[in-house]
Amino acid sequence: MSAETTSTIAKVLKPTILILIAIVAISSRLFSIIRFESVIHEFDPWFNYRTTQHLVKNGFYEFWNWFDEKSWYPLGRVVGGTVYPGIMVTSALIHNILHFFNFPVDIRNICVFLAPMFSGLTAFSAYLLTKELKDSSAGLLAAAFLGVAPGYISRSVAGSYDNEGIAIFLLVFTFYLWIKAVKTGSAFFGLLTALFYFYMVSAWGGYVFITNLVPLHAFTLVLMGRFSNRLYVSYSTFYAVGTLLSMQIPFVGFQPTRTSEHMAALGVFGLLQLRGFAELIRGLVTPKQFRTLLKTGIAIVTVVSLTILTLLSMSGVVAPFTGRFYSLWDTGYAKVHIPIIASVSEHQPTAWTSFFFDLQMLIFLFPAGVYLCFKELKDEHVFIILYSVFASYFAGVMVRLMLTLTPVVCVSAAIAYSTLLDTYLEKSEHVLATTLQGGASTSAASASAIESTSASKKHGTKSTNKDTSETKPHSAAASSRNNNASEKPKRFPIFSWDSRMMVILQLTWFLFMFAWHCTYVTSGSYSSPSIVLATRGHDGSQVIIDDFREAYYWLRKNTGENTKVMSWWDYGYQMAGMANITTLVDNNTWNNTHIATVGKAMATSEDVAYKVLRQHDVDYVLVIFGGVLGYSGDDINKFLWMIRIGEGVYPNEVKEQSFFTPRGEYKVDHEATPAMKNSLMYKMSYYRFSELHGGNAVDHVRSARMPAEGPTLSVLEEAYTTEHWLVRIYKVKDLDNIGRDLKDATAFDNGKARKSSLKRK
Amino acid sequence: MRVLVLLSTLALALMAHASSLTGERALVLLDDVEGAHVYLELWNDLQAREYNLTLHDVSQPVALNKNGQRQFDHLLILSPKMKAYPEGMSAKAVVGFVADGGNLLVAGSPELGNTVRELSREFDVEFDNKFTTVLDHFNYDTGFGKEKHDAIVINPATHMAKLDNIIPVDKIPGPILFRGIAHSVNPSNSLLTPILWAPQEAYSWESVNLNGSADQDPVISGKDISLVSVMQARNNARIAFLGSTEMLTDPFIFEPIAKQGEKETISGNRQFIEALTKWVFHETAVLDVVGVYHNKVGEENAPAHYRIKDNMTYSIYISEYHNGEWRAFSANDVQLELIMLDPYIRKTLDESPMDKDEGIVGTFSTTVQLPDQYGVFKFTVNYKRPGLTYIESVTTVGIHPFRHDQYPRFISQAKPYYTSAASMGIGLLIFTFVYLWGGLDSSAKTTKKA
Repeated sequence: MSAETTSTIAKVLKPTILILIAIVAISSRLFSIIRFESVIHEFDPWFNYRTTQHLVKNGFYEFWNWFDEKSWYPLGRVVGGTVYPGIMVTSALIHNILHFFNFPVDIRNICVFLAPMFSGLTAFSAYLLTKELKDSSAGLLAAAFLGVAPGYISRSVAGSYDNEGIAIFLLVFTFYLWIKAVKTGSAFFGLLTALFYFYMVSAWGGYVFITNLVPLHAFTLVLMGRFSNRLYVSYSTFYAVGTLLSMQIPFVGFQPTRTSEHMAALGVFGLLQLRGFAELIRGLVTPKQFRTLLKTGIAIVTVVSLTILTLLSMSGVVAPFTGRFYSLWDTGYAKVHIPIIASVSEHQPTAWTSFFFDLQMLIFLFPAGVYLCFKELKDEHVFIILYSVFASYFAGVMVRLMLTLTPVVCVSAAIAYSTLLDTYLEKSEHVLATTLQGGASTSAASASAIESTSASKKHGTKSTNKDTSETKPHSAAASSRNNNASEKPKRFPIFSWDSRMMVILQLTWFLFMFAWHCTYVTSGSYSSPSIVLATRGHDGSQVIIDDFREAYYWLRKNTGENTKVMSWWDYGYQMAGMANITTLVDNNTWNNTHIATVGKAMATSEDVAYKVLRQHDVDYVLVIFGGVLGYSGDDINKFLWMIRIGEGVYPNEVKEQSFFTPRGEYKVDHEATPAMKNSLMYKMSYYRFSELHGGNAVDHVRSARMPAEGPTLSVLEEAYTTEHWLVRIYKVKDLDNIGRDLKDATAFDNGKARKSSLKRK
Repeated sequence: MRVLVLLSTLALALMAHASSLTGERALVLLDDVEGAHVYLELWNDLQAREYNLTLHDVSQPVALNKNGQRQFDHLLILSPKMKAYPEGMSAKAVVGFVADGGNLLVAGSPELGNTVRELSREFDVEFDNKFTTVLDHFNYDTGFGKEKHDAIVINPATHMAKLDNIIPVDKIPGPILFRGIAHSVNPSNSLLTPILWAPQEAYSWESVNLNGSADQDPVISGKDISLVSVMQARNNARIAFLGSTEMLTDPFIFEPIAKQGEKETISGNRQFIEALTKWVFHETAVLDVVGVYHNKVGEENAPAHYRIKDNMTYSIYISEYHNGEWRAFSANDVQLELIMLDPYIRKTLDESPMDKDEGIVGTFSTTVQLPDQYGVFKFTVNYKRPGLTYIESVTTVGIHPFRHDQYPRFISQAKPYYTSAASMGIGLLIFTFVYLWGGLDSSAKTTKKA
């Protein structure tokens, strides 16, 4: 085959492969739709879905200024100013375009399918990024890897309508544009980087990762003595335009000028200006003068900037790091200081097994890829190295940040894998032909010489695109290596057919295993909508447990939208989205005090809780109880967090210690402490539970045999309990009509008359 | 428009006219219907006020509630001896009757049985033990209480609550004669008010065993002895407890009475009972919120939500039902509260002077500047005065923050930045012009750079 035909075929094959990868990426995310239905998953997506509906219905102006009276009652939430609007605007745009062309697609379906669609784009940007680092075949591999890697699928299955769904695409694409900008030194690509950075800022709070990684890259390059006009132009364009744009998002606002997380970017921007200025001066004065100037300049700049930073921090103009940021460095920090952050399971440190679970073979190809980057160490490889180091660290600290690690793992694994393939698949004709060319060398060293020749050739062709001053030493070194090939013996080329086959087959086998593993993990672990549960019955048939929607539907049909329903914050978004009622707290968690108040109501006795309920006009209280079903994510298991968060604000009324038995155990059966037994949460969970099996009720989550006499309730009455007792809804009673306390009133309703209060003196 | 709405609301209310606002069906439970004639004056009085009385013997079955419908509007339990409820009735049914909006009048006597005692206890009224009676050796009536000193004469000016909304003191021409059992009220129940209490010298003791030695103190004595108490339940149902059935009977109304060494007079029982039943049966002191309106100053209709620091006008229209007709309610202590967890603003509403057409509606209004705090606020008028219907009018309205385009666009503090931005732009333009067409010999340099 001639080189021409190969390249023609490649031209056709590459887009075909990319399209196929996109199709695979999309279709492997559709398990949940096939198994269940086209429904929004989990918790946060429900909020995004609700805001998207609002946007589509009322237009952008109303959305931008939306003050939601139905959440965080009675505080309300300024949704327009506390939301990353990227995902909603994206879906609404798609919706409007489709409707313009008379495709009446429901907004729900757009929301459900948005993340899978964007995963196709992510794969494509991974291809572009990797192509910049190595070549297009590595790019194709990276695209394939990222398309199906479970670490990314976990947040982008159909129905998982969350910020991350489009943010990962934006992250990878912004990085691609940045690398392109640094490579070309073009203001145009710097501008594109800034634009996509803006899109990223509008889409996900994780934009801070870009805000810090790009400056870090620039800073490292300066430290390595690789300051160049390309870097100067691209970074300055990116920073100036990107920062101005990012400040247009109300939720970000003036943060880029005020918070410590953004200071690194500003600092590097300043540093580059100084470095550029120094370059200018260097051209105008003698070297000796320049050295003196440099020394004094550095000293003055350091002192001045440190003083300013300290003063600003002390006076509070530059906010100190937020708690979520601290917990990135000290995993124990959140648990002690901000229980609300620690209470979220996705903020927990990652278990080591989940690295293998989410990335499978990529995780051991990843270091190899990073090593290969070190070997080349051009500007863009420095970036990948930095990215991998930091993302690895953060992924280890927080489960959620596995998401940012996945792209770089895919990219470097693709580099490693494709290098292996390059080595073992190199066409023998080619090798032979070049061997003839270098026939002067000794036979033993000849092949390695050829290797380096081809390597240098590659470099040569590439380097023409680049700033010549940068790559000249490289190619010079390469050619000198070529000349002195015999002095530096390199590895043998692989000629033999059988050893090639062994490696190639093994690698292919790995690929099969990887694909199998990804499908298995996606189908088994990441495709559950979590609002619908599926288990197996005794005969192996599938049993669908739809209690959540059953309860929300009951609320929707039996209460008005101004009904205030209190629950733990986890269910706030779902209740607002599905039940269309007013909630007290939700997954936004912006007001710790309000959440602590709910925690207090759950953790205190009926009398204390009743005052809170009355003050907040609560009509219904909703609890999740898994004792019948064995659903371990229920409220009694989350109860300790409610107590801890409540104790943080109301230390006199809620005490964590009083919920533990003298032996330090957390018990719900007859050994439960009085504080536990009197708490509203306990009473709501186990009310009438003991009647279930004739006094022999067993809590299947905590494997506890419950006392025959269950708790009594007087300030609440049971309103609804779902089929599997998973969701229980209680109505808050009004004050007694004739002024008794509710305990007496309940006793009277149960047929117990009051005792005489008169006593002989 | 607003006047029209108000008037039509009222017209509806007037159509349902009877003496009582809640209805005319009254059930009277008696220990013995044969003995009902002692209350002849009471029956006449009630029938004159258009009540449809059902005198009922406790031994016969009766249902207060049929198919979820209240069968009576008022219940008078004049059967203190009752051992058990009539078939179809229970303590729960009576409490449910009150919860359903029915009014209740309970009268006791020294022979009070446990049934009525336990019922009263649910209302935080505790009658003294059986066969006890209120005795007073100083203020007894020389006619009825000659032997036992148990019929006591009470001066309304000193021993009656000064609650003109329930019983105006000046309408009671003479002292009130009482013979019956004492009760005490639970002071922690804020709905319950004693309106007639015993003189300082009175005590509660077993009347049958009067000559026996008193080796114990009485359970209650003096002013702690309540003789008549009233309660207005949270749903505005009204309840009265009387320690004496006898004070309702004809002899107590018509016979002349006199304390030791004083002149004979006619008792004030008749007027007292009339006023009390009028209040209990919703003939007086019933308030109705005819309408609540709020709007931005200078606008006509209520907005869906306000913005922080808006000026808002709030008006509430209250009418009072008094002796069969509606009239404008008048008060100087109606307050508006803006509450979001805590009250942010609390302001007394001004009573507006009314014109003749709207003479039956009292207008209270005020203008406030809303707080600089967004959230869901409750505009609350929480007007609870003894004797008057409770008014708890809650309007929930959101107060929103500024929209992004409602802030001032160009502010003076930012002028240096506007100037710097403008100068930068102009400088760039000039520089570009000079660089491209300024005649500088830059071509050589640029080629070098590229």
